[in-house]
Amino acid sequence: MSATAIYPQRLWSEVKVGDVLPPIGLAVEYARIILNAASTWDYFPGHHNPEYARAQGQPDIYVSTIFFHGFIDRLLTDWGGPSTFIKRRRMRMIASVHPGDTMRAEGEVLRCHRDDAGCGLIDLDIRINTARGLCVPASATVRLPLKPGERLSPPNNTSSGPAP
Amino acid sequence: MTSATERSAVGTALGSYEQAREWIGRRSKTRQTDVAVDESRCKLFAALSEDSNPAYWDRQWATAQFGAPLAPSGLTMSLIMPLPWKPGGGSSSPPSLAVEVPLPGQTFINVDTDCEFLRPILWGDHFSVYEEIVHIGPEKTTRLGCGHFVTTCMNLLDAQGRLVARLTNVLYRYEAAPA
Repeated sequence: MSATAIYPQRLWSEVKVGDVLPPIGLAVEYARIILNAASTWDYFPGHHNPEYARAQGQPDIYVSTIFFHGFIDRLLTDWGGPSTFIKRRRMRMIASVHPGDTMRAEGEVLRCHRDDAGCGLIDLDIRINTARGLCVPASATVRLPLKPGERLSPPNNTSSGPAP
Repeated sequence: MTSATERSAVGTALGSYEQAREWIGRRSKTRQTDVAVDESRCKLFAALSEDSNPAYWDRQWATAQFGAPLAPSGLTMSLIMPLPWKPGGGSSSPPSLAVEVPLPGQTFINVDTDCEFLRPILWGDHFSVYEEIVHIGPEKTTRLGCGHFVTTCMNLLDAQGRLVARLTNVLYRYEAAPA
């Protein structure tokens, strides 16, 4: 692709409370869980050793926290477009996801608002389910462009944190 | 930590809740992550969730938009993970201060995260990180076993010392219930 490629990007003004995000799904296999552990350097044995996972009280190895992060972010940017900036993502893992499961993520717009700098923000409710029910309730705040071509989060337009 | 610290098979420090409570408010040293953000790690991570976001895949477009391709935000927690081995032996540092807290229980599982992002993360960025123990709850029994919830806050800083992300995490350190 070239620098002039045009990818669909949702604008803040196009979103309204109650909008439903297109759901996404993913089949979870042993290889996906284990490759994710490798890609994230999360070598905790619950993500690659079935015997260890069973000793933990799990039926089998399970998807890692970081995998859920990526899956939620895909839901958000598939819907918003590549210039969607994820400002905050909160999630609670109330049930594990194992090989043989199919994960499904869905979301809904809860609030459209502007921050002190005038940026366009969207608050969303998110849920990840398997056939057994809800696994990960989550929420997120994303920033969307106010107009086409707006660049999000330029380096000099975000606050600095405390010095360590 | 001293070499006398007893540890579980997965490296968690073992001790009592009373010992653990002394860790509340304790902060780690600031350390640099083992490697910079790189293309192969970003692409493999995106591939595993089948995420086609061109910010991760289309180098030309992303460079024009952001100055460089982006790392998936979801990968951020991974960036603080240490290599499992380095020349000279051993890992450079524990993945989290939460496993250094002396507590009963042979294992752990992550239960809750709250991630705030202040800046996008680009290929080539190299970070430093420090972490603080925010809270350690009293003993609690769950369907998995009996243990304690440990809340930590990790701050990711760029090469200029600017805060890039703040990751608050709750880890359940527990002894598994008998099968």
